[in-house]
Amino acid sequence: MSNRPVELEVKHLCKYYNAGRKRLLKAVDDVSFDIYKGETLGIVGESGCGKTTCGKTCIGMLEKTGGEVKFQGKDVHTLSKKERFDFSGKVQMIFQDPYASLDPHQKVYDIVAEGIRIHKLAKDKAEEEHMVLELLDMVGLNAEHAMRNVHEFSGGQRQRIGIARALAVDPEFLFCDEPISALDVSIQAQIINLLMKLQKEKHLTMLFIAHDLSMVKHISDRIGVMYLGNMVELSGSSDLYRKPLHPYTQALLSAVPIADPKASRERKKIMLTGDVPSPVNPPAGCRFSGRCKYCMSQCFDLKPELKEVEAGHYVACHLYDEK
Amino acid sequence: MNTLVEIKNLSVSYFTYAGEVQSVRDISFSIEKGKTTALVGESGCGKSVTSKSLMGLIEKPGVIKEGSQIIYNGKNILDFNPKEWNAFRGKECSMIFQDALVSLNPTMMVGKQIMENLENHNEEGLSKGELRKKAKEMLDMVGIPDAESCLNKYPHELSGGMRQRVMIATALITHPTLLIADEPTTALDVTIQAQILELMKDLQKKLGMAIIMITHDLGVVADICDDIVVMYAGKIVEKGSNEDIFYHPRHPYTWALMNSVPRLDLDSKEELVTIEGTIPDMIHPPKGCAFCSRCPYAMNICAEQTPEVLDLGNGHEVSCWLTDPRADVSGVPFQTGGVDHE
Repeated sequence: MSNRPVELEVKHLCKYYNAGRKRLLKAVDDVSFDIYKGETLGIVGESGCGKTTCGKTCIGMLEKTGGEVKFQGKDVHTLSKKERFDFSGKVQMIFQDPYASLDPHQKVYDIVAEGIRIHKLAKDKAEEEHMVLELLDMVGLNAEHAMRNVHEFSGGQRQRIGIARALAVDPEFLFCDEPISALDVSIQAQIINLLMKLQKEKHLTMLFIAHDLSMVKHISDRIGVMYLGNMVELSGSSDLYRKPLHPYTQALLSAVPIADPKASRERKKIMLTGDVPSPVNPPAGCRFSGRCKYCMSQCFDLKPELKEVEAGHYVACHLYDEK
Repeated sequence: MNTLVEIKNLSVSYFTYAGEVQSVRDISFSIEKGKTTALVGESGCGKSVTSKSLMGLIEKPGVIKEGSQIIYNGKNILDFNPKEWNAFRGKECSMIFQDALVSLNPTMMVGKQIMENLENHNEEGLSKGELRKKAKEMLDMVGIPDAESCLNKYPHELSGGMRQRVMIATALITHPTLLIADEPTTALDVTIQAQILELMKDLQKKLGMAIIMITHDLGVVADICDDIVVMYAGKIVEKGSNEDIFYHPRHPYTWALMNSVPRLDLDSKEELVTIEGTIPDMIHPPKGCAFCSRCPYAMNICAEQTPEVLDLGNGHEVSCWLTDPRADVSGVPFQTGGVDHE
């Protein structure tokens, strides 16, 4: 894995919000990871763990508080105007809510063509039209849809339009922020299949954020697990599910219901007690310390670092400290 | 068989400016005492409308059509007058919803909300203090730490999981025989969802109520349900026990639904099974089988005639033309008619 070129390099990224009364909400706190060229990295975690903030900061949609993000060797947050423009041609995103992320005043054709026009990818009108129709075809829509308004489409179709818009500038990197959570089960599978097909054809690198762990496992090569602003575990996707190391990952995976009555009955669930603590005043030391059943004395004071425990399997937990 | 509620030929329509939306079209099923029945299907398939009919909550422009029957304790509850409904709702049958924050009253303390339901059905004439004691017991039972202080809190002071517990307490304080749970865990994170599902199983054991679970999450269904009713476009396409539906699905929709979600415990990067297209327009529902336009195995007859319900025994019923002996079933990846093969 490590000999592959790194597309996105994230080092000690922090994103804090002012929570009033001189308090800080540490949405993302010292997160580091790499995304290799051509792979899909999934980030999972419960609501409020900072996965979306992390993703948005990574692609420069949000200002960072500290740390560094490099895309193809260039710092994402200090781009010049010209570099920023090039960057937007290489990095695109797909959003969670297909209803809110498309302009209701525009025709589908214009939504998809906007990127092509901005980046001057088409020589003339005819080529532009050809490109738009090809894109629509690629995502499973047809020419007849191009001149319609957005409100005439269902959620799944809108998500396809969003994907066509993202692909219009022929990007290298795609940031998918919960692209399926607003859709019905049968439609989710359509979108996932489409994204996987497009990735193979266009050799895209993807950052995929979702809370549906089985879908993330299906689409990702590697998965990072976040808890309360920290990355607690990072590993290959089947490795992570076969052998979760962090106590939080273990509990999270065991809580996912499995659509098989026999397997579901035989499985042992690890029940977590209590709720996720507030990110405004998180526990010192390990963020998971208060809910962890293996908690030791040093967990309360010393924050564990993300370390490589096995080849390609990183975990931030004192249980795996070298004795 | 210990039937608690029997729904017979239920049809519900909404009369809108665009025309008559036939949300539920002639469905029949029954709910066993103390068991959990799941209503599964995509959004708009009529599962919530079915449960609302059970609670008498169909309001204009919705109409329950002539000939529909819901038999509870030998009586057709659709003939109830308002007074009888009030005695039934909350006492015999309670409901919990997806979003606890909008379902609970934000200006009322938790304790008062729980007691309110009990006060309305206070046949024993309990005093305020006794009601409060009962409310506290109920909060203990749903696993809220420090129940006494929780009684004096407002819903916004509680976390999502705790609010859901409060709502369950409110619904169950009268010890109903039937609990309708409309997507109770959809808005929750998986670890909290696991807690709530465990709690519901536990309470069912203690209180013995039947549960109707409305959900689209098949994992949740596999986990807690005994019987499954699969709905599509206002009709029941298949119903049966948990094992029947998961291991021997006979309807192409059920089969596709089961195979469209990746399994966490299996390693497979194969393409997911998808259901192409979208659900039909319910103002002009298709003449034949409603699933026909999206079904990869559809035959000529499917568009023309609604398939009969075929009883496969042990309550497993399916309505699909593929079960007909004359149907060409080569290339169909699941078993169609006849007895279950192991």
